[in-house]
Amino acid sequence: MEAFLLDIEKRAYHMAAFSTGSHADALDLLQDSMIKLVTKYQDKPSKEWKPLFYKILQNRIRDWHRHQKVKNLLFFWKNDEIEEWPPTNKEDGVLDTPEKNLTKDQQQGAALEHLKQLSPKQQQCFLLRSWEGLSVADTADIMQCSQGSVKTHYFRAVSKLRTMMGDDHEITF
Amino acid sequence: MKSPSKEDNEDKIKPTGNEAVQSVNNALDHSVHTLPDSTLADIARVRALALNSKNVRMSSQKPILDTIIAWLFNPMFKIGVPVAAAITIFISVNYVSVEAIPELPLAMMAADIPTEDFAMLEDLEFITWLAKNEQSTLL
Repeated sequence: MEAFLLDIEKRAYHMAAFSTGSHADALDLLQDSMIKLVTKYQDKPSKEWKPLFYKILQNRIRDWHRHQKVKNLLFFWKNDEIEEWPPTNKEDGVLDTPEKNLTKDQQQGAALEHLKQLSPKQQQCFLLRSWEGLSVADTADIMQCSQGSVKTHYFRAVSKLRTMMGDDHEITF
Repeated sequence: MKSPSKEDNEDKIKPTGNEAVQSVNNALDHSVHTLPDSTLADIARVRALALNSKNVRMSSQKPILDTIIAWLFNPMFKIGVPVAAAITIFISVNYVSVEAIPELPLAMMAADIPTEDFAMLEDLEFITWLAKNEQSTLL
């Protein structure tokens, strides 16, 4: 179990932080998910751990968003400053002229900015399917939707990313 | 989906879907590899806490048999069970069931029935008894 958590923790943290936009909240969600996996599902076969863990994590993230929505409704006058995560320099993501010499870091910063612009469902679907390499069936189970919806979300996510990246690298003849 | 000819008309060079996916995945991987040390330490602490929670739970969960044995040899259990049994026996022996007899309705009270009716009822009862006796002797 420890090896599994060690293998998955950074990506899981990244996923939670990407979704919540907060380091502290991401750590809380990660901790809750890990504790639940360890205490409830340790006896399950190890090959089932990954989808189970991501299912728990995504449920936690969904709950977090629900709580945030209620909190914002109740305390509408409070404008909580949410720390930006991942900490990227916005200037890096905006490419003004083709002459600008892009470094690798800048390109990667831009890619993450594009990912942030996707809808939460598309983000979630992209991260699970493409980054984590989970199957359509597992992703559908984790996202609690049909396999057809997963395919649609993924297709739209990739199309949007492609369009945004195309606009970045736009070369007009 | 746009056709290739349409894309050409827009005079733009766009990355393919695979390139876009690869690019974002690389960015995510790079972001994970360059997490600050403080964040890595926090994640490690969270992992240790999660793994420890299992041990805490395991140690707090005793086998059922051990729990029952410990309970049987508990001094409070030794005193409490005989006392409870004695109280139960005492109550069950001394219990007197008092069943309340419902009162007759006022309409049936004898005071309201005239005395002539009583005499007639007694006669009717005697005649019925006599008829039954005669029938039994005939049979």
